[in-house]
Amino acid sequence: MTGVIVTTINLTAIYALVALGVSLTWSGLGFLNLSTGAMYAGAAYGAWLVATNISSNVVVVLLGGVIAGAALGALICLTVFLPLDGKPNWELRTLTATLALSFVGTNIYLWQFGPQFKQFDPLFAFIREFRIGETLVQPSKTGTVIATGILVAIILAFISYSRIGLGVRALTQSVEGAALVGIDRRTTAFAILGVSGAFIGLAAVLLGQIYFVEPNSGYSPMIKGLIVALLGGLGSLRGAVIAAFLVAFAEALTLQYLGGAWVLITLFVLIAVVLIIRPRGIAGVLEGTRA
Amino acid sequence: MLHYAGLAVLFVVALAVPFVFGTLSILGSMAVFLLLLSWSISWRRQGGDTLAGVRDRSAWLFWGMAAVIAILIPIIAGTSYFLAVMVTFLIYLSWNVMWGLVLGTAGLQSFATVAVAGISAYVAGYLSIELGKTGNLSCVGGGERILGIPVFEWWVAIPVAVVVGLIVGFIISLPAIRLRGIYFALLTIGLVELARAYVVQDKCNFGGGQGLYGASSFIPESIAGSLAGYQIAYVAAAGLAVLALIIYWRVNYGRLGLLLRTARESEPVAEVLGTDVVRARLWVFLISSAVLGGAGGFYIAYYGSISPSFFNFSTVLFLFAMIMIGGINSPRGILVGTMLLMYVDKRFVDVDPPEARYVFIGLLLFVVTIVARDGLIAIPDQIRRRRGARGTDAEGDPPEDVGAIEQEAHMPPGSRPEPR
Repeated sequence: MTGVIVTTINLTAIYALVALGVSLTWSGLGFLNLSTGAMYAGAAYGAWLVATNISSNVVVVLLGGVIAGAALGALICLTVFLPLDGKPNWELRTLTATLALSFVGTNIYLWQFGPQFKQFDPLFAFIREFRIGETLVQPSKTGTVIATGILVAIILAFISYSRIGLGVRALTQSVEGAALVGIDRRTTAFAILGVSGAFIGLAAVLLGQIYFVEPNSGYSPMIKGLIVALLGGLGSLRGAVIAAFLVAFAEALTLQYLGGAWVLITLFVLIAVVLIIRPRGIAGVLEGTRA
Repeated sequence: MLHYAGLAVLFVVALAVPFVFGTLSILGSMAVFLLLLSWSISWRRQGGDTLAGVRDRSAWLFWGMAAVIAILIPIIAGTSYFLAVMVTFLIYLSWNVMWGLVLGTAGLQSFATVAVAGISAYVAGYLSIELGKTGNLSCVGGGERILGIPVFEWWVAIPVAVVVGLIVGFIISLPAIRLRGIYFALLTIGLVELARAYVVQDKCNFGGGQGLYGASSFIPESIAGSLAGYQIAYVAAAGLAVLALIIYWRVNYGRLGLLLRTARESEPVAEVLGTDVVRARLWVFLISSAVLGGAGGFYIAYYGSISPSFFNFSTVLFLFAMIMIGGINSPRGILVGTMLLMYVDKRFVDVDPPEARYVFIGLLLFVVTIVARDGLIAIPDQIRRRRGARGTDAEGDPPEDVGAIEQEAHMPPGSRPEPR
């Protein structure tokens, strides 16, 4: 059981990162970024290039992933958000455009890097492994939790104290209100998508410690990140963290007792049940009061 | 008159293309011809709007030409290979048309198309192999006969697939009643993935990663693989596509379509008018799922085999690109989009880095989405609306990027009225 708990905490950190990226984009800009998976793989390749060409120092590689993710986020802003902002049929068109870009991205990776798996050297080898009861806690898991904590703290500080962060928060609360007090949606959009990308990029490097990197490696984390974001109630950051924990726990239990092939099946049963009972997810009540 | 003469010249040019560039190019040239034809029809029409579901007076011209092309194709380009491409195209077309009904007319962001068709095909294939004659399944007895007749030939498999499609559609539509937009999109993307995960798991009944093969086919064994076999398949597939189009027509331009479009544009208005929105959505889902199931059954009865890669996300994306590039709200758009992408896919099948083809398709989808609000087919309407916004349109369509539309587009989901 301790094994399940350790896995749960590790996965919670990673899924919360992806889901925060998705959720922030939704609440701030009102679209679902279906190129999250391609951003994830892109950031992983970015970090891998940094690790093989520049330095395999932990901080450098993590920064590489975060910066690559943020850059891809800015690219999405430039190519999808800015051209479509304010245009009719917005919801379906943003969905389609991000889907198209993810298709393009995945195939460019396949073209450039080939289908072979890329592997990171263990980043957290300097952390000593330790035991809780009978369960061995690997360095990668400790490192994941610490690195997530640090990035989330930095970004929360950025959102709470900087002027752009203030704009981001205003935009997630009320589009009209933000416009009234003179917040520029288009500038803030870069911040929002950049931060989303940074979260996704960090998740990519951290999960790259466990799974290999390949062109399609972003698909499964994206689906899980979307599940978490929807389960939490799109737009709610608190809900996303709670849902990340729930999903991670379900996955850890499934891994332990049923086997890896059943993970997605369990998760979809979970999401179907929760969404049928509460169509707006865990934090749906918060959403409702916002209108 | 000049207009018709111009179109006739275009048609002759499009007909000449395959003689210069090879049989396959007829798919591309005809797609372009039909697109131009549709543009000219929309452009000359007085008032009305494809988006609003208004029927064109000259629609007969478009569909008449489509029928002529469908008859000419086996005459001009009747090789086995090309007919096989055409059968695949027609199966895709019948799926896409039904998807258009759900995604376009009803405005439900469903990605379940592939799941419904695939599950139906799998069940039909399973029954055909288990109860029919042949098969690759390890734990299946097989060869059960009643009065010496193999009980599960293709003509039983297809109706069963329709029923399976209905059942799957009903199950999916239950959450559809409560979930909106994006939530439903994700749930249905998940369903496709779930179907894939399940069939890979279940080696015993669904053949695992290998899939099913050896299901009963409607092409008699004596001519399977010959030109005559492909000709039969072509005629049958054309029948399937025409059936799907007729059903689309009946629903989209009938009462149900009107109700659905009203509910899509504004749910409160539809409810005030006394529309039972939930019921209407349930109906459209059931109708399209039944046809999708039937087309899935057709798929297994044509190929005799199916593998889990059917449920790959790239399949969903490919079909999605077809309908989005053509135009989701019009059967003409769906036809042109499906033709165009089918051509691109087959034409560049052996291009050097194979990824280049997908990059091209992805970029095409991206550019069309950014430029056109409703696919290639509706570009004349888009231009007319923009002109209307500048004040030349007598009907006074609302300007494209002002106030209400923009505001509604960006309202967070919570601020919309909660569906019951």
